[in-house]
Amino acid sequence: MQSLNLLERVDLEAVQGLVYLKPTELCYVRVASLTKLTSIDSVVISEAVRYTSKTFVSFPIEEINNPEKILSLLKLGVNGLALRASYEDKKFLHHERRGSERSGDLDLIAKVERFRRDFPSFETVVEFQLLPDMRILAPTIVRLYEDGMRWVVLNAEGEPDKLRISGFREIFEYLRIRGCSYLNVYFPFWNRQFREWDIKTQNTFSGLFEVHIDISNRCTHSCTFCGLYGPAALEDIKKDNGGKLSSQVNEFMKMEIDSEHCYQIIESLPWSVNIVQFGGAGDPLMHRDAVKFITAVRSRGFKVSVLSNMEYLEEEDLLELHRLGGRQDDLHFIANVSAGTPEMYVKTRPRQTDKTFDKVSSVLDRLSTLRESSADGRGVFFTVMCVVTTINCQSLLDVAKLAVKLRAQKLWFKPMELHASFQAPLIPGGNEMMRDMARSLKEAADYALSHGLELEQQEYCEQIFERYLGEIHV
Amino acid sequence: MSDLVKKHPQELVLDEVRIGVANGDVPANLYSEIPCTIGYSYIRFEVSGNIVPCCIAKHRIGDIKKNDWREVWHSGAYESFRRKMSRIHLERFHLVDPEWTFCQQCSHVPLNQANADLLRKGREEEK
Repeated sequence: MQSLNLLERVDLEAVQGLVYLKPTELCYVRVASLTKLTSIDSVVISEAVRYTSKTFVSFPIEEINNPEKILSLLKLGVNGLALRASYEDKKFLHHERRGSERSGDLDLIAKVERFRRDFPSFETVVEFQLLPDMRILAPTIVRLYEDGMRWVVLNAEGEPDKLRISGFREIFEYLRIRGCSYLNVYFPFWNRQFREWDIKTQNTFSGLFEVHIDISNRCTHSCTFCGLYGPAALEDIKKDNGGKLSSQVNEFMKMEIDSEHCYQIIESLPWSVNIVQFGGAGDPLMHRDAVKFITAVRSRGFKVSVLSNMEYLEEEDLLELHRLGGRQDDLHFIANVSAGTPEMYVKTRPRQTDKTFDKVSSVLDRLSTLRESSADGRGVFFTVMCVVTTINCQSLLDVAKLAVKLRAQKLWFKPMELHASFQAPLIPGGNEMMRDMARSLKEAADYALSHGLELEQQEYCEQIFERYLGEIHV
Repeated sequence: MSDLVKKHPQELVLDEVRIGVANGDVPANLYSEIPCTIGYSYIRFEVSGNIVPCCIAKHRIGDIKKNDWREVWHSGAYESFRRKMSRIHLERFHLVDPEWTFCQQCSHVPLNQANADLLRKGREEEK
């Protein structure tokens, strides 16, 4: 990602104000003073504008009376301004000494309102420098929210302590009761403990970390272990409807998320989100806008994970995905292959042919080739997943060899899930079969590890080894 | 107390849950030790538009076709789910109440464990 250059080019420690960056999406530059902007501050702001889609500059609220400086930020391409209201030493709250605590709050609200009216081109944020007991802020935040403010930064410093945790919990409860649903309240991005702050204070106004969006129930595969499209599953579904699929099931199988809804979700996610996973009862890549959804998520700077059979991608999709890729888990596919040879592939998916196996292999190989050909090693990474069933449980080494050949990052032997009785015959069982499976799993795990692959859910392998081979470690 | 609760956690893994089944890799005693905080960190949107607070939960809380997800996220129903789950390690209802047994097939162990580590941080120092 181009924006990451910013991190590499600027010595963050040398910048006084400081920067938080969500790749490509947001740069938050805190400057000590707007009127006395240092040259390094200016460089950081320019770089931020150049490499990210949104740049916010945080400065002391007292400086809003300097319209020339503020307009110069607009010319630089800054999108948002964070007005830093200092409550420390009662500098802001009572500095005009109107006689009551509320007067300070009202003064702040009036200033923010005036600022938003005078500079409508900027998105406005209020960043509160906090008092030890900040509960008095809650009504002020509600009032700002009612006036259209949509995000606030609560500059809690250091590690969370009992007193402040309970204070923040009360604030968040107050905001929930007052219906501030569209408000984003962030703890400082530049504070390394911000995740700890979010979880300890039960912050629902940011803090969301993982998002799962099911986008398609459609699939053309017939994985034996699938609870919807597998042959046994289909038989089971049909048996209660005279040997046919009911219209309800048919309708369910065609369901896809409405694209507009999906974009709305992606656009409205808070910046605390780490990863967006795409899935569904079918294959997410069956959705015609799947790659566009991935683009939308990546352009917001979040990681993306997609579980797919990897059949439906064409060359132009692969090039676009490669462009959206990054390091490690930035854009990661979990490729449900569940076989290491064309013969086994067809056994695990009776409706597919060896041509499908070839297509899937070539898609994964192409993604690796693109990644390896990029100078910085960025691109799409993937896990080869194998659902372990009675069908493939003795040929797991082939899967490991395929994963190595395709230059996967990880290999995942996933235990078969039992959701319905018809799946029971697919679950490996009995001492003899389990011992054979354990040996196969051991060979596969050793091969993968010796070729530099990571094993996902390694504890599952270890349980099997411990029980059936008398060994614990992979 | 039911037989399930009385059993040693390790026995639960080996006897009640077959290895090779999804929950074979989840320590059944996990939510006897840590709370579930998934309601603060995770959300799932189904194809139909339903909003689900956990990927295997049976509870549908709201619909994006009717409400913006943030209204649902801040709703009383979602808050009830969060509060219930934050008591799982104290009440262990997932071992006895059929409505909550899906928690035994939890696939959010890493996230909940990471959150639990964050929650624990500082407490031990205080002690």
